[in-house]
Amino acid sequence: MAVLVFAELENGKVGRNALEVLGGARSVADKLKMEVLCCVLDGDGGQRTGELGQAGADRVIVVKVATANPSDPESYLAALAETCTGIRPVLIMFAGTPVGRQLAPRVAHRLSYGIVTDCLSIRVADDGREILLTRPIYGGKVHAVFAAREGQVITVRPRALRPLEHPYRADPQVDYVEATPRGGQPRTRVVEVHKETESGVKLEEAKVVVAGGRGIGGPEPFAMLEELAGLLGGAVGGSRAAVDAGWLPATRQIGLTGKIVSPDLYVAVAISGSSQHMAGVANSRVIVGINIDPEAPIFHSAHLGVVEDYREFVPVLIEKIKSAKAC
Amino acid sequence: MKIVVCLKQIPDPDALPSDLVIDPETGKPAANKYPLTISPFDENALEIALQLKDKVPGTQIVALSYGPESAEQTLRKALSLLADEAVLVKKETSKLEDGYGVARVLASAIRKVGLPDLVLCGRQAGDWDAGVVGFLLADELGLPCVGFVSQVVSADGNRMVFKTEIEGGWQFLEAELPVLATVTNDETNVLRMAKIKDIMMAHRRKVSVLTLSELGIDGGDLERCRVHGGLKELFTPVSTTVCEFIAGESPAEKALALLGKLREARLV
Amino acid sequence: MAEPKPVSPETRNFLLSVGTGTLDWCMQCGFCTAVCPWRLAGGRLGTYFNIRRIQRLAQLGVEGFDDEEALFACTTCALCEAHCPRRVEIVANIRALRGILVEAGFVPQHLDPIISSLYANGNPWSGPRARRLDWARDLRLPRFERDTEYLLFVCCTSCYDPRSQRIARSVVRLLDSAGVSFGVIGTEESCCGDVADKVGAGEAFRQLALSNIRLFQSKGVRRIVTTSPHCFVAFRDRYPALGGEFEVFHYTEVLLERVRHGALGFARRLSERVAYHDPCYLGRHGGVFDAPRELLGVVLTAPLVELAWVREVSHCCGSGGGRLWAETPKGQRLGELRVSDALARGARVLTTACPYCVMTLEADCFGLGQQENLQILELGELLASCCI
Repeated sequence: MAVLVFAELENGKVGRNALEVLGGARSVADKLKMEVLCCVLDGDGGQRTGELGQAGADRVIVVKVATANPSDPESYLAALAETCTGIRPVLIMFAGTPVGRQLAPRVAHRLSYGIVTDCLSIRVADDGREILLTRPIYGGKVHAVFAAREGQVITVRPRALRPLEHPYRADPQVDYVEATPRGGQPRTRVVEVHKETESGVKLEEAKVVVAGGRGIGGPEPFAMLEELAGLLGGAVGGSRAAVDAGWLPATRQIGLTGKIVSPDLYVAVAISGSSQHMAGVANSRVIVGINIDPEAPIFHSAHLGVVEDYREFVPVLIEKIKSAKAC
Repeated sequence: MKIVVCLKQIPDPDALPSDLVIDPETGKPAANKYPLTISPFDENALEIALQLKDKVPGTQIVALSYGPESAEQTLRKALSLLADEAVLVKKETSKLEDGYGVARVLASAIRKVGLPDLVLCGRQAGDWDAGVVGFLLADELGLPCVGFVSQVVSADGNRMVFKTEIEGGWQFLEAELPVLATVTNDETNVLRMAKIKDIMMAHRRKVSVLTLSELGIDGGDLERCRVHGGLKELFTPVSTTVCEFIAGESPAEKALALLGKLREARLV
Repeated sequence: MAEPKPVSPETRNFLLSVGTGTLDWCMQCGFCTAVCPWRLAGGRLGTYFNIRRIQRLAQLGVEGFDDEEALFACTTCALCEAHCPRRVEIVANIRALRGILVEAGFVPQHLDPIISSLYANGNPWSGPRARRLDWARDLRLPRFERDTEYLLFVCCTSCYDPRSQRIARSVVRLLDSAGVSFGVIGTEESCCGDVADKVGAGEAFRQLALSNIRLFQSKGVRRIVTTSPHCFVAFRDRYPALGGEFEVFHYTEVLLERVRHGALGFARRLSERVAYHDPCYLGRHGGVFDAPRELLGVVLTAPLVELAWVREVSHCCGSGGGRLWAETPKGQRLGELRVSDALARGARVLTTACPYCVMTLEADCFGLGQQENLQILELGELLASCCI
């Protein structure tokens, strides 16, 4: 009996998504006294088995498919499903990436497993008999809890689970599985792959948004916000007032008449917090308000508030993030 | 070219109150009145189909929906955008069905209307947001599947090139026809407006209705393959909007405290 | 040359049957387009939005009358109606045409979150219903009881927008000083529905209106005083058809009556040069032109600065009919014309009596970089500042 994780690598490295899913799998498997198996594509992760062990895997299964392209699930779905069929894990976990979300339902279908996507939490019930899966429905207004079936496939929402704090093991057992291609040519083919650079993060899709308002006072300080956003892997936007003042292009306007954003983290710098603006960020997970005026309306909507002049505060914040990253 | 677009009618999630209560039996809001809409990603799929029809002469679009009688509105919307055919498979239970059941029904309906060159689905429905039906449908139909498509870049008789979303970027992916694509949104596939004349004409056009028995499906079978049987509980997550002010004697102290909070929430 | 488009009597008859009944009265004189304030704004809409042309195409059932950008450009200011020699109900026609699209599920993108929020929260601002009374957090606000004379109905904008909350607070202060018997119901109130009505979201409007009507009736409301002219007109002109008969007043009317009876006085006079912008919904739609001016006459020491376009022919701030939620490029906004006009006449304060106008004029004044030279004040704020 085992928990199986399909680890998708990011630019050939064991990235955040894989670390999180393996970390989550480890804690479930420990409670159930099971092993964690980690499936990777050869070429994609064949050389990273040690890291996968440290991230929580007992065994790594390297699947070799001659025609596989990691960003085209169609090219290795059959091999992956076959591998899973041979093992019949209790739980199969994917990260909620485009690839993971494509593979999961089809692997489930081929194994006649249950499928629950976009899980925010996975926990073993107190009696140790059930795995409980929580996922948002109706745009997150309601959460649903499912009991995992005997055979269950899930995808996990990025940033919902924690990577392990300490390396698990450096020398997992490694098995190689060679898939024999069947029947004719592959029906799909990747023509070109384009990765976005960090500075090119789209405002609507950014996980972190740093925005400035009327209180910024001019175009120059936006460089400071750019730097902060860059460090957080996010994008910069502004209120209508900042756009009207010509400090930012109109494409960066956030609010009902601009872009509607729902990042995990929204940092409002020197933004008063008009309803026009706040309605455009209402679905952000955490809103941080930075304003010199403790009475500023932004603090009615913000989850975390900092009463400081941003000119002093933001440079210090940038410095602290940099030093935290350095160590 | 023939295209089938699958459209789901859902309670508009944005138009539902934050203290929403969902009936676990039906999977729908417990309130008796709520606005209905086409699931947003399905609208993007419909737009992609319409763009292909603009480009490739002779393209036929079949709009397909599995749902209650009210889902006819959804199909009328597609007809008012000049979809060629509308097919409603009537849902015979008000109970929540899982993706396996829905995919089986859609697959049978698609076989009935004739396997097209391209099947389009939204990447996930805006109510339960599961995002499984499109992928399961590909398997049911034995078609290759291209997920998270934002645009069709080119199409000839036998192949299509799609622009698809991948982690941290996008790719061009070529697929042999017939193929199933699940669609995600981008700025090029926002559903267009209809002409008022076409809205008027759509009221007069026929929506073909299929029953499950016409598709050779036993409603009881669908019931039995309900994976939502595993549904244990539904609850409204509590959100606190009380602002927590970061304490500290200096900007530096506050910056550290703020970072600590953000780390705790796993945001940095 | 563009291909000629066919005339469609069928379409035309369909339009007439769904609420554009006065379309045929139009004789295409073009007054409507000539007076439309968009012509003066100098932007794309100045030529793209042509209300005469929309009506002509609709009369003939020729494609083009339903072009989204043009059809949703109208601010429903009704300046055209004031000039129409045939009394065509142009705003009603626009509303009906929009309604066909919106009710068929074709909602312009910018209006989608607004209509959704009206359903979800009972206000267009995505504000939680439970926080509808936040504007009054530290005020001693009377609740509406059976023996209260007026229900005070505060516009959603002044409930949720921090700047606009000052308007509601000022009006409360004035009503209090004037000894008016008033009270609020609170979080069960919903948006008056004017936005929904004007953008063609008929079902949303009906649900909001019915919910308010039932609420008001259950509380025994007979008279309503509103802070916003939009609520004023919606209650007075649109609710009766749905069974809601109330006596409706804008707060300026109630205050003026108290001033006349000596029940409300002002301790302070203002010597600044103040201009007054007639909100379209208070003036042309509501028929209230004099009450705000008379109230200003009481507190101003200098004569009121009158703008170029006032009273029955006042120009719109640009934000009626759902336009508050549409983006118009800077330099092409109607509000900029009003701000510039006020500045040209030497005004230091531009006052008006509508939360939408205040929000718009203030943003446009800032956009023009004139915030140091011209203050935008809602009339209630200006009057309340004279109460000390």
